[in-house]
Amino acid sequence: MNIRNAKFISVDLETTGLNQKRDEIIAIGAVPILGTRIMAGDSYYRLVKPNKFRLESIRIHGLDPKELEKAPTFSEIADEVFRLIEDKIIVGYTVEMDYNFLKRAFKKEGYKLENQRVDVIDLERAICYILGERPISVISLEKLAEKYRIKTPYRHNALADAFITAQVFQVQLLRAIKYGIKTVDKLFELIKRGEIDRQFGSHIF
Amino acid sequence: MLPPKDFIKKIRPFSFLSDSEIDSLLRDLEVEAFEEGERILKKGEKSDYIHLVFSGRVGIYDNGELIDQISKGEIFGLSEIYEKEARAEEDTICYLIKRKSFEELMKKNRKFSEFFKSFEERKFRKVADISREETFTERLFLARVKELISKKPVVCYPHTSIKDAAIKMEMNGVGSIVVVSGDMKPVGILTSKDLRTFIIHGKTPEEKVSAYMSSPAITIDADAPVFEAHLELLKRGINHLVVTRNGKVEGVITANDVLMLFEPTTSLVVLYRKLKKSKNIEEMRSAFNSLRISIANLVLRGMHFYDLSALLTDIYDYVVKKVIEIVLDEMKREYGKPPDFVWVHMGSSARKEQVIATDQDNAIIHSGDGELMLELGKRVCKALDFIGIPECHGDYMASNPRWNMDIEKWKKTFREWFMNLTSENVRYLSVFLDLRPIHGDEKLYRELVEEIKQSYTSQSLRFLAHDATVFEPPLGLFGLRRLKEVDIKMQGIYPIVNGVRVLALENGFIEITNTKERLEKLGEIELIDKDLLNSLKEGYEFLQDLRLKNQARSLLEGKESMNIVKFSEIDKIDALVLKETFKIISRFQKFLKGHYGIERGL
Repeated sequence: MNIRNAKFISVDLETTGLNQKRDEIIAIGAVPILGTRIMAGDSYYRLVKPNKFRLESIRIHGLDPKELEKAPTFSEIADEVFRLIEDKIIVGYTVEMDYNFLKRAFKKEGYKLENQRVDVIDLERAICYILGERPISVISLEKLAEKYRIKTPYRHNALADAFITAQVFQVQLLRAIKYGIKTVDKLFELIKRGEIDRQFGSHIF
Repeated sequence: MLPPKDFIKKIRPFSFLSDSEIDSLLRDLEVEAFEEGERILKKGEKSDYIHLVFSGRVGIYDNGELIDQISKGEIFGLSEIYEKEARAEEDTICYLIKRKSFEELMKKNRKFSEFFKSFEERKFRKVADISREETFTERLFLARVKELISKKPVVCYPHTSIKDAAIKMEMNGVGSIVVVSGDMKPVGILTSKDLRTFIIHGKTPEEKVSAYMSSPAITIDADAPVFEAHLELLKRGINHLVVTRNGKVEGVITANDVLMLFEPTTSLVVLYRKLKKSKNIEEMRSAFNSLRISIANLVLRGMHFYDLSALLTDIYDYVVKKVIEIVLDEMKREYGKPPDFVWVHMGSSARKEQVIATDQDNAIIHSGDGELMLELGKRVCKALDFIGIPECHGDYMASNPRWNMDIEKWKKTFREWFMNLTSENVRYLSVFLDLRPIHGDEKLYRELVEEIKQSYTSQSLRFLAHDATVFEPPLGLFGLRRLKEVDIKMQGIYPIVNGVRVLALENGFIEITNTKERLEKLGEIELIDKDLLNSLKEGYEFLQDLRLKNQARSLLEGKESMNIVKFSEIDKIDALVLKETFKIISRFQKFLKGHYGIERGL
């Protein structure tokens, strides 16, 4: 499929911690991307009421425990979230982490999540590789936004981060397209190649 | 909240919108990336979106020619059917705002819609006004007490006699005298009111000041804001405040000084009257200087160029006429009746387009004794300089024998200029073709103008037109940003003034000197496209406004006045309008090149 017609969705979660078995999702932010166009108007953001509260984590996120108390549980929104993302390629920053959280949560509700994923970190490495650029040493979301001149002051939350990720991805896509990568398959091939090169020949960077 | 909101909120005119209004724009926002060279909008395309550039650069093309460059924070594609072509000059990201949401907002938010409408209709003055209001009051509150001090402090000691103190007050023309200790620390103040008390109760004029002064003196620090002085005066119901620095007397300010700052229009009337009442050069100097400051205040409060230049022309003309009369009286006593002459102004003064920092540009056309006339020129120019109209750097003054000639020599000079088009002579022409009689025998002036109309050549028109097209203005905000600073006089005002002047010469109305009036006259003969003429008029006023504001600020801050505008220092709105104005100048230059056949130079 041509990249220009592909459906992506940038997803960012906030969780009570990093342990996929124990921790829970407390916020979901998602921004759909159609080809290279970010459909910011169709953004999705929900707080999610966790089953067991971990207050110290909540404090870090700056989320209001009272708001969380009023929020729906994952089980209540599972259907709408699933329909939002089921036919799209999930884009994220350290996307596997968020994907596994989602997959687990969906499984509990009886949904089977099977999406292709693109991690903007991997894509960044791959693009740097083909364009002969030296990748930035620590690929943080901040640094990526800075590199692509899309850094704006904003309040970190799941939606804002999903949006910034979408913008990073958008520029990356544009660069890939300009290089001649026009289809989704080619895009995944590129990422894979980047990974292999990294494993076996990282010295070339 | 989406990050775009933070970005959009800071951009004018979106900053006029409330949070919920911005949300309504973002509700269906899309963000698109365009490759370098990609066409974003084509000519005749109907688009559902307004484009706001987030990063990169977009070129706007009209029939294949680049006419504008749009960069971060700017909008394009406002009209539903696009008349130009928009292309990405580099990889570019645009925020696409749905036209429908945008138009709904236009209906709801008056300020927002006025901004766009004024911009489209090229009502630049209004565009600037919409967003300006706040800054003038800010400026008012930022003014410091020391800026109000107009004289060195007049002081005496506690043991000074009432009579000596009164004499000192009278000689310095002040209504109060500060009583100080040996180290200039104020101990009290003696005002006219205290003098009345003395007249009623006093015994002998040798009595000491300390018996009648108001003590302690109410003081205020020189760096205190003016409004604090205002409060102090109101609270205590007094008329004088002693200004101090490190406890020592620096000057005195009165309730009137403070009110003048708050009410520059009334002060203008007062000062103008004071100027007219002046009996000698010294008094004129003091009145003229206060006038300039109160005019500078008016400018910062939003007075516009055309209104202001008319006012300034009145004031300057009055000063010059009066000085000539005073000098003539002197000279009559020394040398008897002078020959017929006319005092003329050139340059901006001739065009009635003076700004605050205009220097002298004058000449004498006479019909007799050159030596006597030169003496007149020298004395008047010197007196004007003393009053505060500085001498001209280029020495275009009646004190220079080159510009103080009898009528026949003047005619010969113009013929020579028109025939022999060296770059020097072209420069002289651009100075002396704007000529306005100020004082004396206008017959001589008319005679010279007739000669000018007879003797110009078509080749001279081409040279003068070329002069108006050599400085090409920067294109687009991008071009402006890259330049970092612009010389509004050289790159903006000159091309318009020079271009309009040559058209006036060609069409037989060089005696109309004012650029706006010349443009109106050009409108009557339908030589230039109406839209271009109107845009020129608006653009010209905007440039002059911008220059004026710059000068006013310099004058009030006591800095030398400049025509350079630093791009980083001007208001965002001004930058936008400046960009539009440069586009208009470009169009005008293109017209001139075509009209005079100088597309490829001379």
